Amino acid sequence: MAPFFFLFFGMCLGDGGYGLLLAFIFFGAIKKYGMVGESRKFFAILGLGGIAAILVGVVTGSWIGDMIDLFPFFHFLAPIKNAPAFLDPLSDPITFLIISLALGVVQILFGLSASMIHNLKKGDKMAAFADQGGWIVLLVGLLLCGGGASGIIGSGPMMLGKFLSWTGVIVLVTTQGRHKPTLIGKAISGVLSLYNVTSYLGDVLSYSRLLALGLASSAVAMIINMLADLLGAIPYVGWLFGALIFLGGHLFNVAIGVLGAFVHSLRLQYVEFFSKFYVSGGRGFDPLRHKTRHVTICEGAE
Amino acid sequence: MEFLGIALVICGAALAAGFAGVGSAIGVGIAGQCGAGVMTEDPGKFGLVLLLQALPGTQGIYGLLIAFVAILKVGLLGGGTSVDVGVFQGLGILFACLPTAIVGFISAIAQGKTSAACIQMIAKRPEETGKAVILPAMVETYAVLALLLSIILLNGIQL
Repeated sequence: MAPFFFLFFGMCLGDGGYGLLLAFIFFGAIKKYGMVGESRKFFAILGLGGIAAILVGVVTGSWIGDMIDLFPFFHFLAPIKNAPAFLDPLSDPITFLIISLALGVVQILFGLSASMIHNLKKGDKMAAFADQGGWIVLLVGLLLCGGGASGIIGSGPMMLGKFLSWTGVIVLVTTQGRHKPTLIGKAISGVLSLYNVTSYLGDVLSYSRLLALGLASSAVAMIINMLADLLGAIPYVGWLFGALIFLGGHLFNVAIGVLGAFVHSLRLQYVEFFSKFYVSGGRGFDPLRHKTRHVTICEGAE
Repeated sequence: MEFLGIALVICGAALAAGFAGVGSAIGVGIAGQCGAGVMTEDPGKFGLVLLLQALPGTQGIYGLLIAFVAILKVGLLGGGTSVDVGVFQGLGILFACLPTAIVGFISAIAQGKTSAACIQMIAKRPEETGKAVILPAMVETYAVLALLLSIILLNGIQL
């Protein structure tokens, strides 16, 4: 789950310059203050998220908004920035949306597979093949059908998709009611289980937040740059106001962006991903021990 | 008549920034009142309380963002030459601003209430901060979806 989290975090922040700032601050803090325990883990998560944001920035060509293109003294960086950038979410949001949703499909299928393996290990072959297997086959089949209908893939895969979808439907309808006592009960709950396809649709659409948050942070960055540029045009004192807006605005945007990216990536993990395989319940084992806040106990030191 | 299109765009931008901002102000206010109560008992929780209080503030930023995108689109920002906007294009932009305005207004208030409840939760159980941050984020989902729709619509309107 960790790689997904960092990727989502990077896409939500969506800016290489902010990523650099984050990685610098949090890894610097770990190094400088020699942090241990929970806070070190937390700082490392944010730092790694920053690195993911740098990678996303490389792909989208967003470095503190459009700073490199807007301000003349950064123009020398433009060739380096433009070389690997092939996707601009501001001018082509639909491609980015499709990438976000595709990531969602990948993660949901991954979660279903994890659940299937778990059931197989428990020896519950019926649940593995009927519950998770049926859904995986149906979802992949529907995706192939959708791809074929919109003309992205040829008719061969589309036939395969139709075949897979019907196989999935048959498996689900015949098996989902297997715990019901009567034949009619079995049939009804088998058919009704197909209704769950809407919940999978909702889960996948939920990943569109990756696009929305990424767009929001880079658009706000762009607007801050523009305001700084406008103020910079005031004679004599303009550069001072411009620099103040630039620094203050971007610090504010980083703070808000990190909060949003962290919270929403976490939500995608908890709500959309965990629900596919995670069985909740129980209580954490919390043995009687010394809990210290400001003292670190070193094992084996005299 | 020739300025009606521009006026409609300004109306949309004002609605998005205004309503989402009002919602966020109310939401942050509700969470802040609760946070002040918690901090009278334990001032050390300031960091956590501030984090939770800030969560309903994002709707206002989304509204401002949509307002900026709308006025950028018609060239009102930066004193540049303004684009010729027809009445129906102006109406379209006004409607495209509405999801962020409406959903931002109401969801920020709801999120403020959830944040307030979560601030009370961390007053008793500060170790559960991760869960306390998730619950308000569930509300924010719908503001994010509205923002997404507004951006896609604004992007799609041809001038």
